Amino acid sequence: MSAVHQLTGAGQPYRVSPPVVLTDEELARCGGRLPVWADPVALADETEADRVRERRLYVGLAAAITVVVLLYLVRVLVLAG
Amino acid sequence: MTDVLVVLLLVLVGIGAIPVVAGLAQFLVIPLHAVRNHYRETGPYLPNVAVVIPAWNEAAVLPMSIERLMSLDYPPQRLRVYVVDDASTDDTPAVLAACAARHPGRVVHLRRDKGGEGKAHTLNHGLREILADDWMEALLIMDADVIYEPVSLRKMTRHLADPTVGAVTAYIREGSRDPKGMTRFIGFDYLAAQAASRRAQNVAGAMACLAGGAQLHTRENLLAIGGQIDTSSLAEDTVTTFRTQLAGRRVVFEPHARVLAEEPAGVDALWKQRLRWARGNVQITSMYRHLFFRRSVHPGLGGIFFGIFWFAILLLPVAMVLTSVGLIGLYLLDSDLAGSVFGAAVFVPIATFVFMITLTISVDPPTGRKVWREALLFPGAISFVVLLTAAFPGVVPLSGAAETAWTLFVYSWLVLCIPLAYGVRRLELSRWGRPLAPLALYLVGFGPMMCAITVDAYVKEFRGAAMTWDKTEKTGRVAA
Repeated sequence: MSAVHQLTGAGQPYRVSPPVVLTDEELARCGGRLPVWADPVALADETEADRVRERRLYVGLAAAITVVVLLYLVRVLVLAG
Repeated sequence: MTDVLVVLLLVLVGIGAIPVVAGLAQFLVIPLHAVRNHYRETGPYLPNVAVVIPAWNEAAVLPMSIERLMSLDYPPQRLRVYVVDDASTDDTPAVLAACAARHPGRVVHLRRDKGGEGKAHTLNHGLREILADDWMEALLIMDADVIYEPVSLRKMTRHLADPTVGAVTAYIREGSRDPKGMTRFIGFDYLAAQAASRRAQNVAGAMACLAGGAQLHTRENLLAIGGQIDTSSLAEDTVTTFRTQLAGRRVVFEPHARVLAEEPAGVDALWKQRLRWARGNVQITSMYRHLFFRRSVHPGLGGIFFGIFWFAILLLPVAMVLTSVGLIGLYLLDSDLAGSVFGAAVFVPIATFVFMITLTISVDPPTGRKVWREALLFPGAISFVVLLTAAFPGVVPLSGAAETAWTLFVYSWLVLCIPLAYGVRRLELSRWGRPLAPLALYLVGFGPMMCAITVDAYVKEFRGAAMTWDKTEKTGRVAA
C-alpha cells in the first residue's frame, strides 16, 4: 500500500508507492530493458522534460504579440492612407 | 435625456465587452504555466489504479479501449479495469466476457439489471463495488470510447504524490482518423477549451471541470466527497470538481497526458451533447451561487478570475445582445459616436482572436496544423469578414445607403448569428438541407453555435424541461 511520508528537511509531505520489482520473466517480456515506470530516475527525467516543454508557451506568446502588433501597424497605415 | 440614453448605451457596450476582455486575460495568463505549474511537486508515484468505465451499448468501442488500457506503460499488477454495463442490449456482455477471459483478474464486468438512469448512477454502481475492497488507491473515471496514450496514466499519477492533490485530469483530443468539418471544429474547440484554457485554470489555482473521460481521483478524495457521484444535475463531472476543491484538495490538469475521444460528427448530435453540458453549467451556477466572487468560501473558485471566466462563458449570449443593442442604439442617436466607439473598441476582439488562435495552436502544434482553417473560421466566415472590414475600414469603399446597411448589419450580426446557428441545426435535420449544413456551419461558425446552445439551455432550464441523457453515438472512429 502507498503511504504519506513526512521527511525532515523535505519541503512537504509526499505519497510513495512501494518500489516495483520485476522478475526475470517480466524483464524478458519487456525486451530486457527496464520499463520507465520501474525506474524512478527515468520517471523524474520524463517529468523534467514535460516541465521544460511548457516553455514553448513563450513562443506562442511571442507569435501572438507579433501578429497583433503587425495587424495594428497595417491598420494604422490603412487609416492614414 | 439624449445624453443619459447615450451613457446608458455606452454602458451596455462596455458590459457586453467584458467576456472579450476576460478571454484576452485568460490567454495572457496561459504562458505563465511555463513557470507556475505543478511539476516540481510531483513524484514517482504508481498507486493501484481501478479504472471504471460506464457502458451502455458500447460493443463497437470497448475492445479497443480495454486493449489500450491493458497495454498502458504502467505496472500491470497495479491496474484493474471495471466496466459497468448499464443493462446493454447489444453485444457488450459478450465483448466484455471475451476481454475478461483474455485478461483474467484485470478486467471485471459489472452488470446492472436495470439501466437507463444515466452515467452518474452507472458510475455509482461501480464505485460501490470498488470501494468495498481496499485494493484501490486511485480511481480513473473514463468513457468507453476514450483511448489512452501509453504514458498517459503514469503522467497523471505523478501529481498524486502531492497529498494536497485530490484529482488530476488529462488533455482529451478529438481522435477521428479522418477528421472533417464538424470534427475539425471540435478538434480546435478541445485544443482551446482543454489544452489552453485548463492551463490558465492551473495557473489560477481553480479548475472548472475535470474532463468526464479522464479524471483520476485519490481514494481519500472520493471518500471525502461522499464516495458517490452527484446524480442531481447534468454536469456530474463539474460537481465532483467543485466538491473536491471545496473539500480542500487541489485539482490539477496534466497537459502531457493525452487521450483520444470520439466526438459527434453532425450538428444535431453536437447540439444534444453540448446542450447537456450547457444545462449542467446553468444548474451548477444555481447550486453554487453562494460561491462565486467570495474568496472567503474558496480562494480559487471564489476568486475574481474564476468568477469572471465562469460567467463570461455562461452569459456570453447576453453580452452579445447588450453589445448589439448598445451599438445600434448609439448609431440611431449619433452615428459618428457609434463609429468612434466601434473603431476604438474593435481591436480588442481582434487581439483576443489572434491570441486565442496563436496560443491555442502553440500548445499542441501537430493538432493545430490539422485544424488551423477551423481556428480561423471558428467565429464563422461571416464574422471573419466583419472583423476584417472592421480592422481595416475603407478597404471596401461604401457610401450612402449601402454604408448604412452594412454598418447596421455589422452592429447587429452579434445577435443575428445566434438564430442563424439554430437554423444550421434545422437545416441538417431537413432532407433537402442536409448536404448544405456543413457549408452553413463554416459560414455561421462554431462559436455562434455554442452561444445558440447556451440560449437553448437557458430556455430549457427556465421551462423545467426533462433532464434526458442523450448519449452520443460511438462508432469506433478513433485512430488507434
